[in-house]
Amino acid sequence: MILSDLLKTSVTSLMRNRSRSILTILGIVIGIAAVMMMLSIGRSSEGLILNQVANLGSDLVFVEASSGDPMSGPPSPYIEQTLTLDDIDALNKSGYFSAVTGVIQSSTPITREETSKFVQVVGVNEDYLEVFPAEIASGRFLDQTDIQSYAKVVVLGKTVAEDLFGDQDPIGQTVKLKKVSLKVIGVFPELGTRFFQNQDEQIVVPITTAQRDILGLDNVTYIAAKASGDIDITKEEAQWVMRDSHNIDNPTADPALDDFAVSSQSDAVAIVGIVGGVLTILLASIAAISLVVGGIGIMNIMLVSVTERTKEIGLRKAIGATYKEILQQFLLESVLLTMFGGIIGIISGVGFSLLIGYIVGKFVDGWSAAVPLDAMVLGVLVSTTVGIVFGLYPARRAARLDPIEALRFE
Amino acid sequence: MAEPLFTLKNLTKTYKSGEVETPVLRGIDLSVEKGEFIALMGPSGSGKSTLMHILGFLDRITDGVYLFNGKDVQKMTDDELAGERSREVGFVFQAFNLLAKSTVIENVMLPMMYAKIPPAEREERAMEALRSVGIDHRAHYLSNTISGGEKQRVAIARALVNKPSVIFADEPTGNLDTKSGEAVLGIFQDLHEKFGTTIVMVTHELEAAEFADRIVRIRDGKIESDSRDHVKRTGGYYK
Repeated sequence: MILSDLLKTSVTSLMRNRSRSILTILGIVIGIAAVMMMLSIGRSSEGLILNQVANLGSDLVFVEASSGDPMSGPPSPYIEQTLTLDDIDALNKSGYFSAVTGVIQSSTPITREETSKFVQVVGVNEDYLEVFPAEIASGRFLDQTDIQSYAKVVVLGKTVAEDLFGDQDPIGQTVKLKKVSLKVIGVFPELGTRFFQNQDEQIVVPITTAQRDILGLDNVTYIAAKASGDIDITKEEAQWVMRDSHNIDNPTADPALDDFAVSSQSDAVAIVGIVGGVLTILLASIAAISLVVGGIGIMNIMLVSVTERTKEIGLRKAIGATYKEILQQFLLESVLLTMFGGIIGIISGVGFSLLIGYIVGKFVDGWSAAVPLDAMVLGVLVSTTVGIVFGLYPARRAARLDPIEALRFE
Repeated sequence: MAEPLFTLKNLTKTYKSGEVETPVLRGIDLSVEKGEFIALMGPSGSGKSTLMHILGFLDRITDGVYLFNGKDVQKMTDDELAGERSREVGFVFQAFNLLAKSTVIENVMLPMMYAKIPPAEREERAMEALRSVGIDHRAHYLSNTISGGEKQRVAIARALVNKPSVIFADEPTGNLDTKSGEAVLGIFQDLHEKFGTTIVMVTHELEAAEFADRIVRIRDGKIESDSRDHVKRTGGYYK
């Protein structure tokens, strides 16, 4: 049997049962479309996170309180807050950093006359803008004197300034934060989001003032520092500086003994990569399940089709069809079904991904819909394979039929 | 004398179902020359259909010898048997066995697909076969829209189209009324006389068998009689 005959025979019999064929491939269509969408969303969000991390700059080192293991995830409220202003001084004096700032964060209402709103108050020192570069729209930023003198001053994020002062110039005016009066010395321009925090909703105060007068704390949430030399050496040295500062005797550098963790942007990238990998495995398992379900549907329908066409198979054998020719005909039918299903699934999956990307992009800055090209190729391959695997059993059953019995079948 | 087309020597066929052995053919000796028109007669269960299936390469023998054109059929692989079916034989069944949703000409072209006839030649050959049984005017009808007699003629065209050495007909008039049945038998006779086609027809009706040159009667798996001395009936489509 030549290839064109084989194709024509298979296509003809699929077309005769058009609605059944379409219903049969629905499982594969949905499976492949879901995989495409999940992969697209996964990649888009991974891209977004990596973009945010990359925006931080590759020369930053972060120190945070920790149970010790750098892979244990984000700081938990149950971890003892061990970082202090002394650690900032120690890191500054070590000479490995061009700028070091502590960061202390809390959510608090801010009031001006009758107007009040919730903001993110961020306590930092004068090096903050060197670590996280930003401009000042008007006024000035905090200086060393402000920090040392526990100055009651504040730099407002753009939205905060607009909400509280409208068209007025906020510089020199006073706002209230937990009964503490703060003088506005500067306003940021529009900064957008960083690490999913809207910086335009933040206000920045001296870290000393934040600790003593506003929040009543003596620790800092984390320390961010800009390395002046090689990032990996600096990271290593920062750990020794911190151990020294905390009086930790840890000559073997066992992270479990430390009460802090030092990380850099590359660590964050690695974690995102791990999370992405786990997600991909998860999605792949869901995909595998849905494709197995789809495949069983194909097998079921092909078995029905073989039984229905027993007489036809008997006739084909009587007029000279070989085992192989019958096998090929039925196998090709199931492969055509799944391949077609796969292609429809890919097209609809890409369509929905773009739609989702368009909608999410309206709410999230920097979100771009990823169309996973490799997944498209994989989708066609996988659906074709499903056709072969689940089509083989029915096709073998057809090919093995005894022609005499098959011709007598009613 | 020419080489016989079929030579059977002490052929037996036994069906096994678990422990039970059912002998169907118990020592058949038969030879058929090229160009014969032979009727296999016998009551149901006599083994005539089994014999036809064996002759038509659809079934295998249990013991004995079956030579086709001098070749030992027992030694052929399944694929070789399929090849013989494709090239050497054509089948006509009692129930016609046309593909209902295909047109008449598509049905007739089907065997050429398995015989690997180039697609360009198929339509013309199919039309030729349809003309030789006088049904070419129905070529593009769906095969479930024509009458039983017409269906059987299409089936004969399908059996003829690969120019086989022999046509096997299994109760070809069993589903037809007398008039259509005689027309079909007339076609067989005509093919036999005009083109020298070898025809082996299984039937239990004497009236049908009498269209053949030679009547072989089978009873209980053995040949009961083998004669040419009946009064031959003629008639049908061309007469």
